[in-house]
Amino acid sequence: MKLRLMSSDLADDNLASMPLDYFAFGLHLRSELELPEISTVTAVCDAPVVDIRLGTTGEIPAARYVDTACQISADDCLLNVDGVARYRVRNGEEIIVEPFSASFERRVRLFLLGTVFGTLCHQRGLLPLHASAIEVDGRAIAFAGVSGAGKSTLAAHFHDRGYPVLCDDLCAIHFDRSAQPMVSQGIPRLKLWRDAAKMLGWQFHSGEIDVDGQEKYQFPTGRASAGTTLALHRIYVLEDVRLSAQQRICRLKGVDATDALLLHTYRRGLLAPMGRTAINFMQSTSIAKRACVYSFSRCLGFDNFAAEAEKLEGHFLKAGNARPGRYG
Amino acid sequence: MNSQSSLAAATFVSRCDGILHAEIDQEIVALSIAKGTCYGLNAVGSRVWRLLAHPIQVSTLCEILTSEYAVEPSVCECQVLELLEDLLAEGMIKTCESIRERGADDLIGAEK
Repeated sequence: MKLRLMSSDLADDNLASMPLDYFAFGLHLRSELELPEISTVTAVCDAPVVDIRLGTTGEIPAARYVDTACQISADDCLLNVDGVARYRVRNGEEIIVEPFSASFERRVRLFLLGTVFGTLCHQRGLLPLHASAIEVDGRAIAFAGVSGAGKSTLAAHFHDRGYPVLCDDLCAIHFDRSAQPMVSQGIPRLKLWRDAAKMLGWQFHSGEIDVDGQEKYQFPTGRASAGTTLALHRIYVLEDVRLSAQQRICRLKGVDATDALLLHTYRRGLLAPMGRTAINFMQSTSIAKRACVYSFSRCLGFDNFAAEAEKLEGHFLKAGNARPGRYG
Repeated sequence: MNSQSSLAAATFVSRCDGILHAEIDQEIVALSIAKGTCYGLNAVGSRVWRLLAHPIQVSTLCEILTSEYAVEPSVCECQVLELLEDLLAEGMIKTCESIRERGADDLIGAEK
């Protein structure tokens, strides 16, 4: 597991090697970086190609938004993660990675598979939701929420209960010809905090540490079929019970559902400088029309976790809660 | 609510530019791009929003609603003015001083 080519070696053609093929989010990723997190995903025919290359990112001329962390234009985005790498995402078709050092591959991939893929989704007109999703009865159920709300922990719990995990943290939603929101297999791994992994009884090793200083661990969720694309049936928005006046689980409709989807769009700060506010709104209303959105208030921490997860499972399994009537 | 109300029966009003909307379950959900705020309108509010596609006089708006809903004209005008004041305060609609502010296209395309 090595970065195959460092930017300083670019002039040396002899080091250039054949890219590797990976599949995730319905895309064919042709990558010069090894991506072990996705290597278990099987191929999809005719998936659009995205090239991931090692190289020099350069600067974006006349970017609409510029600060030390990013330069953003409509179809061109440069992200600078201090001490890790610079990433340039262009036209939804190409990602150039310029690592600062060869020794932090894991961290280089961490941001690549997160924020950078989120940016790629925005450019490709997908709606990246800050959510983890599982498969229930041939359809996708997503858990959306801010960091620490329990998305991954719930997905991990349901993984233990036998539900396949579709994606973690970043849920890329696209729309089929009838405007039905769909979810494709994302990265087949879960990222869990140490406490969550302990509570679930998942074995972890110190070598699995994910972010320096943050005790987060990665767990592969097994072989996944990238060809699997499922209708997004429900979204549960995870809320802190102390901040919510709502019942434990309550249906959000119309403006409330739309608002929740806007709020939990992944890296939504990118939308305005990319000029994608309007598209994001239309996509959010489209999801609100065709999927059921619920708010699910839970206690942070794990004291009530088992009971809460059981309640949630009972809710999404209950036939009476099935599809939204009119669009069913 | 607003003592210095700028709206009267004779005022022309219309939607502002830069407001997106979509219909969910026949109700309008609108977004102000500038503010990034999302608004939901109920059934009657949604009907009013559709009528605001082109500049329309408040009195005309009320006549249409009175013909469509079982409501006293005076009650209707009062409630419509209240809704319009809210929309105005949120920057969702604007007033047009006179019919001259209406473009030719608006005149042709105006909803009856």
